[in-house]
Amino acid sequence: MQPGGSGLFGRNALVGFVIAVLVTWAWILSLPAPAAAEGAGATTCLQCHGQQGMPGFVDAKKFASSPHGALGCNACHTSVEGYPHKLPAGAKGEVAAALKTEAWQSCQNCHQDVTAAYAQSVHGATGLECSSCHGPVHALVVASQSSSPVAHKNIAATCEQCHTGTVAESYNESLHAAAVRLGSDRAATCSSCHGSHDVVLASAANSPVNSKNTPKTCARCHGTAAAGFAQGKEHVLPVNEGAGKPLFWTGKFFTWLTISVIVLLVGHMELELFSQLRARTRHS
Amino acid sequence: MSIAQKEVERGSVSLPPAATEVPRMPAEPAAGAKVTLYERFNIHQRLQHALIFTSFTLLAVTGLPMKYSTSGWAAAVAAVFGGWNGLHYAHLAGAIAMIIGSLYHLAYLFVAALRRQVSWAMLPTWKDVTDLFDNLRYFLGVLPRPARFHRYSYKEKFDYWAVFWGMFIMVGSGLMMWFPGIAAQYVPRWLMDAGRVAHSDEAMLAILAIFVWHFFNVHLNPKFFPANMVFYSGKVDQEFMAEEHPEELAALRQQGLWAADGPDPAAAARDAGEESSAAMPSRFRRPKPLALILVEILLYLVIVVLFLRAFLPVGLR
Repeated sequence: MQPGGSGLFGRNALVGFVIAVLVTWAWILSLPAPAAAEGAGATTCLQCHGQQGMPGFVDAKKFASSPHGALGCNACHTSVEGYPHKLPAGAKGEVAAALKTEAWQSCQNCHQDVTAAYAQSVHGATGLECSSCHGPVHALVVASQSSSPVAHKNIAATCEQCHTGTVAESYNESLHAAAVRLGSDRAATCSSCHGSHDVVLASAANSPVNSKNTPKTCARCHGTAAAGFAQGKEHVLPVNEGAGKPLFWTGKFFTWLTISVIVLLVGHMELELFSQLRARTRHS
Repeated sequence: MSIAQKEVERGSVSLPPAATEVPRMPAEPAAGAKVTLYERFNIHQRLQHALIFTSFTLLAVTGLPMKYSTSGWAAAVAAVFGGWNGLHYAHLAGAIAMIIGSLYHLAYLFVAALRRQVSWAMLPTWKDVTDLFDNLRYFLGVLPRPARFHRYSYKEKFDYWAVFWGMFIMVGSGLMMWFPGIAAQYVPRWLMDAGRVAHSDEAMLAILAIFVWHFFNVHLNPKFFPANMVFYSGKVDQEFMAEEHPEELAALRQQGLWAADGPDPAAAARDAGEESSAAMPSRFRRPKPLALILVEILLYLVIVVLFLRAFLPVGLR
């Protein structure tokens, strides 16, 4: 290439520079006004994050009707400022994780009444988040509404996402569960006995389902909960082993009693009907 | 004969235990009809039955949704009672009514015992066993006539003792669930848990026995279709007695306690269980509608197949 008057400060370079600057400005100006995000509600952020497919997509409608709908994004996403966002350093996945952790830590800014106990709980120690039980935060529904995963009638199903097997099956066969299913807001669900935010292992001395404490726990609903009742084995399935044996054999006894009695009775009825059928042919 | 005269006569006759229960005498003939009616069930027995069957129905309607709480119809039935609380209270109210009905019966028996009028006619006897097999052979065409029952047939005794046993199971297990704190002072926890299973299972047996077997015997049996109204009126006529309780009728006649509708050779023949060609056959011996018989044969076949499909897997599990 010939350096014929073009050089570093040549005309061509100058034109190129000006065009580059103008294009950059045009692009910047075409973007939504950034700095207004702070304290101005979620509207600004949602111009991008309200678009399906965007990283950190938020359904604007659901968010607006959630209990946090009036809060700005920065109420929880405290470190995200301005545009382009100043993000923590690190690989993409790490940044996302850091943002999430920050957001969950923000819950305690308002909900100290439960977050302190939660931090000490067995769930807090295993790294469950608020949304693990309460549902997606941007579409949060308050517990008093029937669609909330922590509404009284939904709590058992929510716990059963992790706690499957005997504990869930036996509860679902209980009268407590039947009552809750048919609309009782008083009958016991998991959290009624085990606690919720402050849940600890049953072996812990302060657990409401520790056998030292069950008489008090049962008595919350059952008045005088004698030790023999309240300290009996809970979550028993009707299986032919251990504490399940009395239930298993009671069920077997009544099932076969019912089968034999009903088959014999219906047999007797059918025979009588048959004899009436025969009597007709005899008379005609 | 006036009522007062009957009262005197009743008091003077000493009855053998099997026939005694309540003083039983021909009731007043229905107006205009030349039919003597006889009081088979007195007002106490009918009230006890009414208390038990109304509470039973309420308990079944409110209890089944609890047993099958996961199904859609359960929620619909609960909604009729205003949700769980209403359903639960209705069930407890039914339980109280049923307990009152049972205590009424026990008190009635107690008072009868004090007056030395208690009847042992409901106790099972060897004749019930032979009656059952005689009846089955009659149904199959082996014997020419059905078994001849006394005061209570083996069917009635079965129903009575099924309710008697069921009442202990249901009230016992129900009270353990209602008052677990008190129950636990007297029984171990495993018995309380087993009681809950028994409550649910015995209820199912009772519901099936009542709505399949008992309803056939008193409603759907072409003999009585659509209903044997003795549960309401308490009264039966000679034709009913000759068909259903010929031995009791004969005993009453012998003791002079049955004022027959005058001499009636046809009735005497029926008492002996013979078909009389000379007289009009009793309304119970007339041929029953073919359609009704066929529909019922089919209905109960379907019921027993559905029943086995539901219960055999549970039993074999």
